[in-house]
Amino acid sequence: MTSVTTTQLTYTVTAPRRGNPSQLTWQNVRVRPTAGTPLASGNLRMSGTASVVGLSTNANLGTLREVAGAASSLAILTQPSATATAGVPFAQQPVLQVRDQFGNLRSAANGVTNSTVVTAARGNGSGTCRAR
Amino acid sequence: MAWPLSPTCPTTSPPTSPLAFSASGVSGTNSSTIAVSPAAAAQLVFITQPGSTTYGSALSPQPVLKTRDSFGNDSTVGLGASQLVTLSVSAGTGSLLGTASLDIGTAAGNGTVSFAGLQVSMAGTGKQLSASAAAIPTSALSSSFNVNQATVTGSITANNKIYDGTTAATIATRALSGALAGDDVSLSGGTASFASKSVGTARTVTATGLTPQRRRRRQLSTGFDQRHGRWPTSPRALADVSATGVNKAYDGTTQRRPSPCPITAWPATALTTSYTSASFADKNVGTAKTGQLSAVSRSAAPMRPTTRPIPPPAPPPTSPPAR
Repeated sequence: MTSVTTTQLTYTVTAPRRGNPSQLTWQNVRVRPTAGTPLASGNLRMSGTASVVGLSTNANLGTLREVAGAASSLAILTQPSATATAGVPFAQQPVLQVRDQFGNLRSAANGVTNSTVVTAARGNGSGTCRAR
Repeated sequence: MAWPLSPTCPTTSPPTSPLAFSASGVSGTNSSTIAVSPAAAAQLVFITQPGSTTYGSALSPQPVLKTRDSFGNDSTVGLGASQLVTLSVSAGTGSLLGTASLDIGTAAGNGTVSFAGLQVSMAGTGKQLSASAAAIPTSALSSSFNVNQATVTGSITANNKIYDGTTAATIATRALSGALAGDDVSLSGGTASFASKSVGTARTVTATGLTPQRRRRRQLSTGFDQRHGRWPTSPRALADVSATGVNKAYDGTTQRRPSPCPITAWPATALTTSYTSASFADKNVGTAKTGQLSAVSRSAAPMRPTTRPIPPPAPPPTSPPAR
Protein backbone atom coordinates (compact mmCIF):
# COMPACT_ATOMS: atom_id res chain seq x y z
CA MET A 1 0.00 0.00 0.00
CA THR A 2 1.67 3.15 -1.16
CA SER A 3 -0.84 5.75 -0.10
CA VAL A 4 -4.40 6.20 1.14
CA THR A 5 -6.56 9.22 0.46
CA THR A 6 -10.27 9.86 0.85
CA THR A 7 -10.78 8.80 -2.69
CA GLN A 8 -7.87 6.52 -3.62
CA LEU A 9 -5.87 3.54 -2.44
CA THR A 10 -2.52 3.20 -4.20
CA TYR A 11 -0.56 -0.06 -4.36
CA THR A 12 2.86 -0.50 -5.79
CA VAL A 13 3.44 -3.91 -7.28
CA THR A 14 6.70 -5.20 -8.67
CA ALA A 15 6.25 -7.96 -11.15
CA PRO A 16 8.77 -10.80 -11.40
CA ARG A 17 10.90 -10.87 -14.42
CA ARG A 18 9.86 -14.32 -15.39
CA GLY A 19 7.50 -16.89 -14.35
CA ASN A 20 3.81 -16.78 -13.59
CA PRO A 21 2.09 -13.45 -13.45
CA SER A 22 1.42 -11.96 -10.04
CA GLN A 23 -1.99 -12.29 -8.37
CA LEU A 24 -3.38 -9.38 -6.34
CA THR A 25 -6.05 -9.84 -3.67
CA TRP A 26 -7.64 -6.93 -1.80
CA GLN A 27 -9.33 -7.61 1.53
CA ASN A 28 -11.17 -5.47 4.11
CA VAL A 29 -11.29 -2.50 1.87
CA ARG A 30 -13.65 -0.11 3.66
CA VAL A 31 -15.23 3.18 2.83
CA ARG A 32 -16.19 5.56 5.59
CA PRO A 33 -18.69 8.27 4.70
CA THR A 34 -17.63 11.68 5.70
CA ALA A 35 -21.18 12.70 6.76
CA GLY A 36 -24.19 10.85 8.21
CA THR A 37 -26.44 12.17 5.54
CA PRO A 38 -27.05 12.14 2.72
CA LEU A 39 -26.16 8.57 2.05
CA ALA A 40 -23.02 8.31 -0.02
CA SER A 41 -22.48 6.20 -3.07
CA GLY A 42 -19.77 5.65 -5.66
CA ASN A 43 -17.79 3.19 -7.70
CA LEU A 44 -14.57 1.27 -7.13
CA ARG A 45 -12.41 1.67 -10.17
CA MET A 46 -9.01 0.58 -11.15
CA SER A 47 -6.55 3.13 -12.40
CA GLY A 48 -2.83 3.52 -12.69
CA THR A 49 -0.14 2.15 -14.99
CA ALA A 50 -0.21 -1.50 -14.14
CA SER A 51 -1.40 -3.83 -16.74
CA VAL A 52 -3.87 -6.30 -15.37
CA VAL A 53 -5.09 -9.05 -17.51
CA GLY A 54 -8.83 -8.82 -17.97
CA LEU A 55 -9.16 -5.30 -16.71
CA SER A 56 -9.04 -2.25 -18.75
CA THR A 57 -7.96 1.05 -17.39
CA ASN A 58 -10.67 2.64 -15.26
CA ALA A 59 -12.56 -0.60 -15.12
CA ASN A 60 -15.43 -0.54 -12.65
CA LEU A 61 -14.73 -3.08 -9.97
CA GLY A 62 -18.00 -2.54 -8.10
CA THR A 63 -20.55 -0.06 -6.79
CA LEU A 64 -20.26 1.36 -3.36
CA ARG A 65 -23.58 2.12 -1.64
CA GLU A 66 -24.19 3.49 1.84
CA VAL A 67 -27.42 2.20 3.50
CA ALA A 68 -29.48 3.75 6.27
CA GLY A 69 -28.55 2.90 9.80
CA ALA A 70 -30.63 1.38 12.57
CA ALA A 71 -34.06 2.86 13.33
CA SER A 72 -33.66 5.73 15.70
CA SER A 73 -36.60 8.08 15.47
CA LEU A 74 -40.05 8.61 14.04
CA ALA A 75 -40.94 11.64 12.04
CA ILE A 76 -44.39 12.83 11.04
CA LEU A 77 -44.49 13.55 7.35
CA THR A 78 -48.23 14.40 7.28
CA GLN A 79 -50.18 15.51 10.32
CA PRO A 80 -53.60 13.93 10.98
CA SER A 81 -56.70 16.12 10.67
CA ALA A 82 -57.05 18.75 13.33
CA THR A 83 -60.68 17.74 13.93
CA ALA A 84 -62.28 14.33 13.91
CA THR A 85 -65.45 12.50 14.86
CA ALA A 86 -65.38 9.45 17.07
CA GLY A 87 -65.45 6.32 14.98
CA VAL A 88 -64.91 8.15 11.70
CA PRO A 89 -61.51 7.89 9.98
CA PHE A 90 -59.40 11.01 9.98
CA ALA A 91 -59.99 12.87 6.79
CA GLN A 92 -56.26 13.45 6.60
CA GLN A 93 -54.44 10.33 7.67
CA PRO A 94 -51.04 10.68 9.32
CA VAL A 95 -47.90 9.66 7.45
CA LEU A 96 -44.73 8.80 9.34
CA GLN A 97 -41.13 7.98 8.54
CA VAL A 98 -38.65 5.84 10.40
CA ARG A 99 -35.21 7.38 10.35
CA ASP A 100 -31.72 6.45 11.44
CA GLN A 101 -29.65 8.49 13.81
CA PHE A 102 -28.60 10.82 11.03
CA GLY A 103 -32.12 11.36 9.80
CA ASN A 104 -31.80 9.05 6.86
CA LEU A 105 -35.08 7.46 5.87
CA ARG A 106 -35.19 3.77 6.50
CA SER A 107 -36.65 2.53 3.28
CA ALA A 108 -36.02 -0.11 0.68
CA ALA A 109 -34.53 2.52 -1.54
CA ASN A 110 -32.04 3.19 1.20
CA GLY A 111 -31.15 -0.41 1.58
CA VAL A 112 -33.49 -1.32 4.49
CA THR A 113 -35.14 -4.68 4.17
CA ASN A 114 -36.57 -5.23 7.63
CA SER A 115 -39.70 -3.55 9.04
CA THR A 116 -40.48 -1.47 12.08
CA VAL A 117 -43.83 -1.68 13.90
CA VAL A 118 -45.20 1.75 14.74
CA THR A 119 -48.08 2.20 17.18
CA ALA A 120 -50.51 5.12 17.26
CA ALA A 121 -52.41 6.05 20.40
CA ARG A 122 -54.05 9.00 22.03
CA GLY A 123 -51.47 11.33 23.42
CA ASN A 124 -53.49 11.86 26.59
CA GLY A 125 -56.63 10.41 28.14
CA SER A 126 -57.75 6.83 27.89
CA GLY A 127 -59.12 6.73 24.39
CA THR A 128 -58.04 4.46 21.64
CA CYS A 129 -57.37 4.60 17.95
CA ARG A 130 -58.83 2.10 15.61
CA ALA A 131 -57.46 1.05 12.27
CA ARG A 132 -59.90 -0.01 9.61
CA MET B 1 -49.49 0.27 10.32
CA ALA B 2 -52.98 -0.32 9.06
CA TRP B 3 -54.69 2.73 7.71
CA PRO B 4 -56.90 4.63 7.96
CA LEU B 5 -56.96 5.52 11.61
CA SER B 6 -60.15 6.57 13.35
CA PRO B 7 -60.33 7.99 16.82
CA THR B 8 -62.60 7.12 19.70
CA CYS B 9 -63.19 9.71 22.30
CA PRO B 10 -63.22 8.41 25.85
CA THR B 11 -65.85 9.87 28.09
CA THR B 12 -63.44 10.81 30.78
CA SER B 13 -60.86 12.33 28.52
CA PRO B 14 -60.62 15.85 27.25
CA PRO B 15 -62.12 16.27 23.81
CA THR B 16 -58.76 17.23 22.38
CA SER B 17 -55.64 15.16 22.22
CA PRO B 18 -52.61 14.61 20.02
CA LEU B 19 -51.77 11.25 18.57
CA ALA B 20 -48.69 9.60 20.00
CA PHE B 21 -46.62 7.37 17.74
CA SER B 22 -44.13 4.92 19.11
CA ALA B 23 -42.01 1.95 18.09
CA SER B 24 -39.73 -0.37 19.96
CA GLY B 25 -36.27 1.09 20.46
CA VAL B 26 -37.18 4.23 18.61
CA SER B 27 -37.83 7.71 19.85
CA GLY B 28 -41.56 8.40 19.48
CA THR B 29 -43.30 11.54 18.42
CA ASN B 30 -46.61 13.30 18.89
CA SER B 31 -48.88 14.79 16.31
CA SER B 32 -50.47 18.18 16.64
CA THR B 33 -53.61 18.40 18.79
CA ILE B 34 -56.79 16.87 17.42
CA ALA B 35 -60.30 17.87 18.53
CA VAL B 36 -62.51 14.79 18.67
CA SER B 37 -66.30 15.07 18.56
CA PRO B 38 -68.69 12.31 19.69
CA ALA B 39 -70.60 10.20 17.26
CA ALA B 40 -74.39 9.95 17.20
CA ALA B 41 -76.08 9.06 20.46
CA ALA B 42 -76.58 5.32 20.37
CA GLN B 43 -77.15 4.16 23.91
CA LEU B 44 -78.61 5.07 27.24
CA VAL B 45 -76.43 4.61 30.29
CA PHE B 46 -77.30 4.71 33.98
CA ILE B 47 -74.91 7.25 35.42
CA THR B 48 -76.50 6.83 38.84
CA GLN B 49 -77.99 3.44 39.58
CA PRO B 50 -81.32 3.24 41.40
CA GLY B 51 -80.84 2.45 45.06
CA SER B 52 -82.72 0.18 47.40
CA THR B 53 -85.44 1.55 49.57
CA THR B 54 -88.37 0.62 51.77
CA TYR B 55 -91.84 0.10 50.38
CA GLY B 56 -93.61 3.41 50.29
CA SER B 57 -90.41 5.42 50.00
CA ALA B 58 -88.68 6.75 46.92
CA LEU B 59 -85.72 4.91 45.47
CA SER B 60 -82.52 6.28 46.93
CA PRO B 61 -80.58 7.36 45.06
CA GLN B 62 -82.81 8.17 42.17
CA PRO B 63 -81.62 7.04 38.73
CA VAL B 64 -79.76 9.39 36.40
CA LEU B 65 -79.18 8.55 32.75
CA LYS B 66 -77.10 9.91 29.91
CA THR B 67 -76.99 9.38 26.21
CA ARG B 68 -73.70 8.18 24.74
CA ASP B 69 -72.38 7.15 21.37
CA SER B 70 -71.35 3.61 20.62
CA PHE B 71 -67.85 4.31 21.93
CA GLY B 72 -69.04 5.47 25.31
CA ASN B 73 -68.74 9.19 24.72
CA ASP B 74 -71.40 11.50 26.09
CA SER B 75 -73.35 12.53 23.04
CA THR B 76 -76.44 14.48 22.09
CA VAL B 77 -75.86 14.07 18.37
CA GLY B 78 -79.08 13.09 16.64
CA LEU B 79 -81.22 13.31 19.75
CA GLY B 80 -83.46 16.02 18.50
CA ALA B 81 -85.02 18.76 20.56
CA SER B 82 -87.26 16.31 22.38
CA GLN B 83 -86.67 12.68 23.17
CA LEU B 84 -88.54 10.90 25.95
CA VAL B 85 -86.73 8.40 28.13
CA THR B 86 -89.08 5.96 29.82
CA LEU B 87 -88.26 3.79 32.79
CA SER B 88 -90.01 0.56 33.68
CA VAL B 89 -89.51 -2.32 36.05
CA SER B 90 -87.99 -5.06 33.93
CA ALA B 91 -87.04 -7.52 36.63
CA GLY B 92 -88.85 -8.21 39.85
CA THR B 93 -92.39 -7.37 40.80
CA GLY B 94 -94.32 -4.15 40.79
CA SER B 95 -94.39 -1.08 38.65
CA LEU B 96 -93.00 2.41 38.93
CA LEU B 97 -94.90 5.10 40.72
CA GLY B 98 -94.16 8.71 39.91
CA THR B 99 -92.90 10.40 36.80
CA ALA B 100 -91.22 7.62 34.85
CA SER B 101 -90.68 9.52 31.59
CA LEU B 102 -88.40 12.50 31.14
CA ASP B 103 -87.24 14.43 28.11
CA ILE B 104 -83.55 13.97 27.34
CA GLY B 105 -83.68 15.97 24.10
CA THR B 106 -81.42 18.89 23.40
CA ALA B 107 -84.14 21.36 24.30
CA ALA B 108 -84.76 19.67 27.64
CA GLY B 109 -82.29 17.43 29.45
CA ASN B 110 -79.72 17.81 26.68
CA GLY B 111 -78.35 14.33 27.13
CA THR B 112 -79.01 13.89 30.84
CA VAL B 113 -82.14 13.08 32.80
CA SER B 114 -82.40 12.90 36.58
CA PHE B 115 -85.47 11.19 37.91
CA ALA B 116 -86.99 12.18 41.20
CA GLY B 117 -89.50 10.65 43.59
CA LEU B 118 -89.75 7.32 41.83
CA GLN B 119 -91.15 4.44 43.85
CA VAL B 120 -91.86 0.79 43.12
CA SER B 121 -95.37 -0.41 43.88
CA MET B 122 -94.36 -3.71 45.45
CA ALA B 123 -91.71 -4.89 47.87
CA GLY B 124 -89.23 -7.49 46.73
CA THR B 125 -85.64 -8.21 45.82
CA GLY B 126 -83.68 -8.32 42.61
CA LYS B 127 -85.56 -5.57 40.87
CA GLN B 128 -84.13 -3.85 37.82
CA LEU B 129 -85.16 -0.88 35.78
CA SER B 130 -84.85 -0.59 32.05
CA ALA B 131 -84.68 2.70 30.21
CA SER B 132 -85.57 3.21 26.59
CA ALA B 133 -86.11 6.00 24.12
CA ALA B 134 -87.49 5.85 20.63
CA ALA B 135 -84.51 7.33 18.83
CA ILE B 136 -81.81 5.57 20.82
CA PRO B 137 -81.03 2.07 19.58
CA THR B 138 -79.65 0.57 22.77
CA SER B 139 -81.66 0.67 25.97
CA ALA B 140 -80.16 0.54 29.43
CA LEU B 141 -80.61 -1.96 32.23
CA SER B 142 -79.89 -0.90 35.75
CA SER B 143 -78.18 -2.90 38.41
CA SER B 144 -80.49 -4.74 40.76
CA PHE B 145 -81.96 -3.21 43.88
CA ASN B 146 -84.38 -4.18 46.61
CA VAL B 147 -87.58 -2.70 47.96
CA ASN B 148 -87.80 -3.78 51.55
CA GLN B 149 -91.08 -4.39 53.27
CA ALA B 150 -92.56 -1.56 55.28
CA THR B 151 -93.44 -2.02 58.95
CA VAL B 152 -96.98 -1.56 60.20
CA THR B 153 -98.02 -1.73 63.83
CA GLY B 154 -101.30 -3.18 64.91
CA SER B 155 -103.36 -2.20 67.95
CA ILE B 156 -106.74 -3.16 69.40
CA THR B 157 -109.21 -1.99 71.98
CA ALA B 158 -111.49 -4.29 73.95
CA ASN B 159 -115.00 -3.85 75.17
CA ASN B 160 -115.67 -3.38 78.83
CA LYS B 161 -117.14 -6.45 80.43
CA ILE B 162 -118.98 -7.42 83.55
CA TYR B 163 -117.01 -9.61 85.85
CA ASP B 164 -117.47 -13.20 84.81
CA GLY B 165 -114.52 -14.82 86.45
CA THR B 166 -112.55 -15.11 83.22
CA THR B 167 -110.01 -13.03 81.36
CA ALA B 168 -111.81 -13.37 78.06
CA ALA B 169 -112.04 -10.09 76.20
CA THR B 170 -113.94 -9.04 73.15
CA ILE B 171 -112.01 -7.03 70.62
CA ALA B 172 -113.80 -3.79 69.98
CA THR B 173 -111.56 -2.12 67.44
CA ARG B 174 -108.55 -3.04 65.39
CA ALA B 175 -106.20 -0.50 63.89
CA LEU B 176 -103.00 -0.46 61.89
CA SER B 177 -100.49 2.35 62.01
CA GLY B 178 -97.78 2.76 59.45
CA ALA B 179 -99.97 1.74 56.54
CA LEU B 180 -99.47 3.97 53.56
CA ALA B 181 -102.12 6.23 52.22
CA GLY B 182 -103.90 4.52 49.42
CA ASP B 183 -103.09 1.03 50.62
CA ASP B 184 -106.30 -0.61 51.79
CA VAL B 185 -105.05 -2.85 54.54
CA SER B 186 -106.72 -3.81 57.76
CA LEU B 187 -106.32 -5.99 60.78
CA SER B 188 -108.62 -8.93 61.28
CA GLY B 189 -109.25 -11.92 63.48
CA GLY B 190 -107.44 -12.66 66.67
CA THR B 191 -108.49 -13.34 70.20
CA ALA B 192 -107.95 -11.13 73.21
CA SER B 193 -107.72 -11.56 76.92
CA PHE B 194 -107.39 -9.26 79.90
CA ALA B 195 -104.27 -9.46 81.97
CA SER B 196 -106.38 -10.28 85.00
CA LYS B 197 -109.88 -11.54 85.63
CA SER B 198 -110.21 -9.15 88.58
CA VAL B 199 -112.46 -6.13 88.46
CA GLY B 200 -110.62 -2.94 87.61
CA THR B 201 -110.02 -0.20 85.10
CA ALA B 202 -107.39 0.40 82.47
CA ARG B 203 -106.72 -3.25 82.23
CA THR B 204 -104.11 -4.45 79.78
CA VAL B 205 -105.51 -6.55 77.01
CA THR B 206 -103.38 -8.92 75.01
CA ALA B 207 -104.42 -10.12 71.60
CA THR B 208 -103.09 -13.01 69.59
CA GLY B 209 -103.77 -14.27 66.14
CA LEU B 210 -104.33 -10.85 64.63
CA THR B 211 -103.83 -10.92 60.90
CA PRO B 212 -103.09 -7.97 58.67
CA GLN B 213 -104.87 -8.36 55.39
CA ARG B 214 -105.33 -6.46 52.25
CA ARG B 215 -108.93 -5.66 51.61
CA ARG B 216 -110.10 -6.51 48.17
CA ARG B 217 -113.29 -4.62 47.79
CA ARG B 218 -113.80 -5.82 44.26
CA GLN B 219 -113.94 -9.36 45.54
CA LEU B 220 -116.64 -8.35 47.95
CA SER B 221 -118.99 -7.51 45.14
CA THR B 222 -121.42 -10.07 43.76
CA GLY B 223 -118.51 -12.44 43.39
CA PHE B 224 -119.58 -13.44 39.91
CA ASP B 225 -116.61 -14.46 37.79
CA GLN B 226 -117.37 -12.53 34.67
CA ARG B 227 -114.30 -13.78 32.90
CA HIS B 228 -115.38 -17.40 33.19
CA GLY B 229 -119.09 -16.77 33.54
CA ARG B 230 -119.59 -18.62 36.78
CA TRP B 231 -120.06 -18.15 40.46
CA PRO B 232 -117.24 -18.95 42.78
CA THR B 233 -117.18 -22.42 44.24
CA SER B 234 -115.15 -21.55 47.29
CA PRO B 235 -116.46 -19.34 50.08
CA ARG B 236 -115.18 -15.82 50.11
CA ALA B 237 -114.18 -13.90 53.15
CA LEU B 238 -116.88 -11.90 54.79
CA ALA B 239 -116.32 -8.40 55.86
CA ASP B 240 -118.36 -5.57 57.25
CA VAL B 241 -121.28 -7.74 58.27
CA SER B 242 -123.64 -6.49 60.92
CA ALA B 243 -126.91 -7.73 62.32
CA THR B 244 -129.68 -5.57 63.68
CA GLY B 245 -133.02 -6.24 65.22
CA VAL B 246 -131.75 -9.25 67.07
CA ASN B 247 -133.72 -9.05 70.28
CA LYS B 248 -134.39 -11.41 73.12
CA ALA B 249 -136.16 -11.47 76.41
CA TYR B 250 -134.01 -11.31 79.54
CA ASP B 251 -133.02 -14.81 80.53
CA GLY B 252 -129.85 -14.21 82.48
CA THR B 253 -127.59 -15.20 79.59
CA THR B 254 -125.98 -13.51 76.65
CA GLN B 255 -126.93 -16.19 74.16
CA ARG B 256 -129.50 -15.83 71.46
CA ARG B 257 -130.85 -18.76 69.54
CA PRO B 258 -130.56 -18.67 65.80
CA SER B 259 -133.61 -17.40 64.04
CA PRO B 260 -134.18 -15.32 60.95
CA CYS B 261 -133.04 -11.79 61.37
CA PRO B 262 -131.88 -9.08 58.98
CA ILE B 263 -128.21 -9.10 58.29
CA THR B 264 -126.62 -6.32 56.36
CA ALA B 265 -123.51 -7.06 54.39
CA TRP B 266 -121.45 -4.47 52.63
CA PRO B 267 -121.64 -4.05 49.80
CA ALA B 268 -125.22 -5.01 49.09
CA THR B 269 -125.04 -8.19 47.09
CA ALA B 270 -127.19 -10.93 45.72
CA LEU B 271 -125.96 -13.17 48.50
CA THR B 272 -127.93 -14.68 51.34
CA THR B 273 -126.20 -14.28 54.66
CA SER B 274 -126.94 -16.37 57.74
CA TYR B 275 -125.45 -17.30 61.07
CA THR B 276 -125.70 -20.19 63.47
CA SER B 277 -125.41 -18.48 66.85
CA ALA B 278 -125.20 -15.09 68.44
CA SER B 279 -124.31 -13.63 71.79
CA PHE B 280 -124.69 -10.20 73.38
CA ALA B 281 -121.82 -8.43 75.01
CA ASP B 282 -123.52 -8.74 78.37
CA LYS B 283 -126.66 -10.24 79.84
CA ASN B 284 -128.09 -6.97 81.11
CA VAL B 285 -131.35 -5.46 79.90
CA GLY B 286 -130.85 -2.56 77.49
CA THR B 287 -131.05 -1.34 73.94
CA ALA B 288 -128.54 -1.00 71.14
CA LYS B 289 -126.61 -3.87 72.49
CA THR B 290 -123.50 -5.11 70.72
CA GLY B 291 -122.69 -8.73 70.34
CA GLN B 292 -121.06 -11.33 68.19
CA LEU B 293 -122.27 -13.56 65.40
CA SER B 294 -120.60 -16.87 64.87
CA ALA B 295 -120.38 -19.21 61.92
CA VAL B 296 -121.58 -16.55 59.54
CA SER B 297 -121.90 -17.82 56.01
CA ARG B 298 -122.95 -16.44 52.70
CA SER B 299 -124.47 -18.30 49.80
CA ALA B 300 -125.35 -17.25 46.32
CA ALA B 301 -128.11 -18.32 44.02
CA PRO B 302 -127.18 -18.76 40.39
CA MET B 303 -127.96 -15.69 38.42
CA ARG B 304 -126.93 -14.12 35.19
CA PRO B 305 -124.03 -11.73 35.38
CA THR B 306 -124.80 -8.11 35.04
CA THR B 307 -122.62 -5.28 33.94
CA ARG B 308 -124.57 -2.76 35.93
CA PRO B 309 -122.54 -1.02 38.58
CA ILE B 310 -122.90 -2.32 42.05
CA PRO B 311 -125.20 -0.03 44.04
CA PRO B 312 -123.77 1.67 47.08
CA PRO B 313 -124.17 -0.12 50.39
CA ALA B 314 -127.54 0.17 51.99
CA PRO B 315 -127.44 2.17 55.20
CA PRO B 316 -128.02 0.12 58.33
CA PRO B 317 -131.32 0.59 60.16
CA THR B 318 -131.19 3.67 62.31
CA SER B 319 -133.58 2.52 64.98
CA PRO B 320 -133.97 -0.92 66.49
CA PRO B 321 -137.36 -2.57 66.20
CA ALA B 322 -139.57 -2.66 69.26
CA ARG B 323 -138.87 -5.42 71.66
